[in-house]
Amino acid sequence: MIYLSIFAALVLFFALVMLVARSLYWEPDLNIAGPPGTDAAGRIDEANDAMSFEILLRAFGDDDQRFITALGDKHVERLLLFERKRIALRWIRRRSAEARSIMREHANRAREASDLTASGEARLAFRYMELLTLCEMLSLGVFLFGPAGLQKFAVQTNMALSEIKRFGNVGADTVTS
Amino acid sequence: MWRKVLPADVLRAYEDFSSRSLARIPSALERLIYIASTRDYNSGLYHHEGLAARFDPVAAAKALEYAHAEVFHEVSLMPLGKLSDELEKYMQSAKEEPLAFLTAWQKLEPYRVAIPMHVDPTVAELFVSNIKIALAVLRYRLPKEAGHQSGASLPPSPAPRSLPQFRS
Repeated sequence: MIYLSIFAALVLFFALVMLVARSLYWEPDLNIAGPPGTDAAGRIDEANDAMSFEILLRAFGDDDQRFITALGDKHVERLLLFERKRIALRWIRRRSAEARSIMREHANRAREASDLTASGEARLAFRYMELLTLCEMLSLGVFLFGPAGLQKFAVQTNMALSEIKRFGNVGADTVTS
Repeated sequence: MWRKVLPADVLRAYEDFSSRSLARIPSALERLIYIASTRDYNSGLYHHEGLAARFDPVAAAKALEYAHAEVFHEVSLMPLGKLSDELEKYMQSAKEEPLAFLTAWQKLEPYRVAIPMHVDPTVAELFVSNIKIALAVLRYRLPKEAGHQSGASLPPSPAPRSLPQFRS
């Protein structure tokens, strides 16, 4: 019974921390439209993936932190941590939103599909849950410790999103073919 | 970096612009500021006299837009150490009082005009974020290098220089 109470307390604690983390996140003051639409959607996706990965490397990498630590100014160190947390949380939010968008689109197409496989759908649902969990855990890690050192975790999240994209596209191809 | 496939006329204009103008500018940050200066603040349209005279004006504008996006990504994803060095070189080339330069850049944030119109919002955020940190780095380095010679109360020079002139 006591273990159950401890477990429930931990769950509540992490839920509270997540709520605080979310409340501290704010929308950027930049009003940027994003890349213009094009008929070569695949090419844009490819570009976005490459760009997303480069942002990941920069936001979650520790090169910049090493440079600032060597500088030896606490104010700049705090500024770096604050800014990197902001960028990293924004990156996570966007990956999470992207996954939700893929799943929504997939669900719309799946309604009209005649040859859905239960195993394929279960696999996609499992990957989606895995990604959402990874995003929440990564957000918590970034909020508590900062993004530096969490690069492997971020790469894993990015890979989970790529898997969802692939599975989602396979589903879409099945529907359209 | 992934490169967009450009129409032939735009590609020719881009290559001409890269070899004639951009190649003469040593740092990516200066290239970015230079290309941003070819964009009209009100319309968001790009114009370069030399390029528009040699190529179709629409193709020339698209070439400038592409070059802008490319250099912007390069600067945004640059390591902080390199960005700080490039910003320091730019500050020196502006021939402005360093403290006045840093104060203006930190308060007025003129670097925001260097953000292309259509860009990944996270990259734009990363750019702004990195410039803020690089400015803080330069401010931290300043007293040591300048030996506390410049007072914080000094006003900017009466005839501040505008963007460096690189145009061909």
